[in-house]
Amino acid sequence: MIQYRKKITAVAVTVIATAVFVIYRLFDPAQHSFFPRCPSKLITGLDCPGCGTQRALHAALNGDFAAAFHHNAILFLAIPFLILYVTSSLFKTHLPRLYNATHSTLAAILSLIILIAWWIIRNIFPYTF
Amino acid sequence: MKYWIIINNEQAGPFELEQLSSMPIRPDTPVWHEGLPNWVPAAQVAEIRNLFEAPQQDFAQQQEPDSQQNETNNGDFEEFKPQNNQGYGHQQQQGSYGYQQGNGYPQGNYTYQQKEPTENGEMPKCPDNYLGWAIAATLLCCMPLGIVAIVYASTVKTRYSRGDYEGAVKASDRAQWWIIFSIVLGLLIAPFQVLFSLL
Repeated sequence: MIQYRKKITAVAVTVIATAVFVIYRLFDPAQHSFFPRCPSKLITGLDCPGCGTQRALHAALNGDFAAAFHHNAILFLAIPFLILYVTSSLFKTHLPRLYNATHSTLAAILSLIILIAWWIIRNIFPYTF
Repeated sequence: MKYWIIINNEQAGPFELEQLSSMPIRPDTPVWHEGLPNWVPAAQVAEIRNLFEAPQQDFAQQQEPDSQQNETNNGDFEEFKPQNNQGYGHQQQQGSYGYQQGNGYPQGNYTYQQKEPTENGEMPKCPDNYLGWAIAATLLCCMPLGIVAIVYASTVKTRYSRGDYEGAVKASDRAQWWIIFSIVLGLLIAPFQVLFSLL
């Protein structure tokens, strides 16, 4: 039963990941309007910590990492962390220390601080980042 | 280092330390490894204690004599008492495992009780803090609501290690709800933005 559910999840994740890969590689979010936009930017006009993620993904999938960094630099921290987090969740018994580290209170508080700092910094220095 | 444990009145093992983290080990689960003269409660094995990240205080509470627990939980322990005396096939297995019952283990059966926090102070596993999802929601969907989710996610572990299992479950649930809220809000506003840009 659980094996069945795990297989379905694995298939679903693969399908979604492939779709994301294909769509973001082919279409530039800046030029096509069917991509979702940021709610808080719509309301406040300020960049949120995640603004530019789609454009960054498009740039990175087309090989332009400098532009990706320019669109949203925090992704270069967030994505590796999330990869570690998901990997340690899936392989909890093989990677107990990694699991404890990524699921720790310290990790949560650090992410909070870094996200909020990033949010503030990118709005004060909009053209640097 | 290989470890053996007794679960549900049956000896199991050998296991590596990392395998134990996914097993229903309680602080009073009998454990043996090479070098020990006899079985000891899991709480007394330092590396197992660290594996479960619970502070020493929690285990100490559970090793109080049963008389105290019976006084405070009268109603709940009524049904446990008969099991101590009858059908307690434990007696005959003591000889074969060589572990003694009189070492301060709480009396009672060793069946693992899942999910509900049981009345004898035992805590089930720590609920997931959904930190990864909270960060993703903050970055991708809606920042203010996602931040709230991260705040709740950060409290799950501290509440659990303080012994507040119910609080940890509540925090974990609230983190999940705020993640869902942020996704929903993002999905609701996205079409408006698309329409807005088309006008």
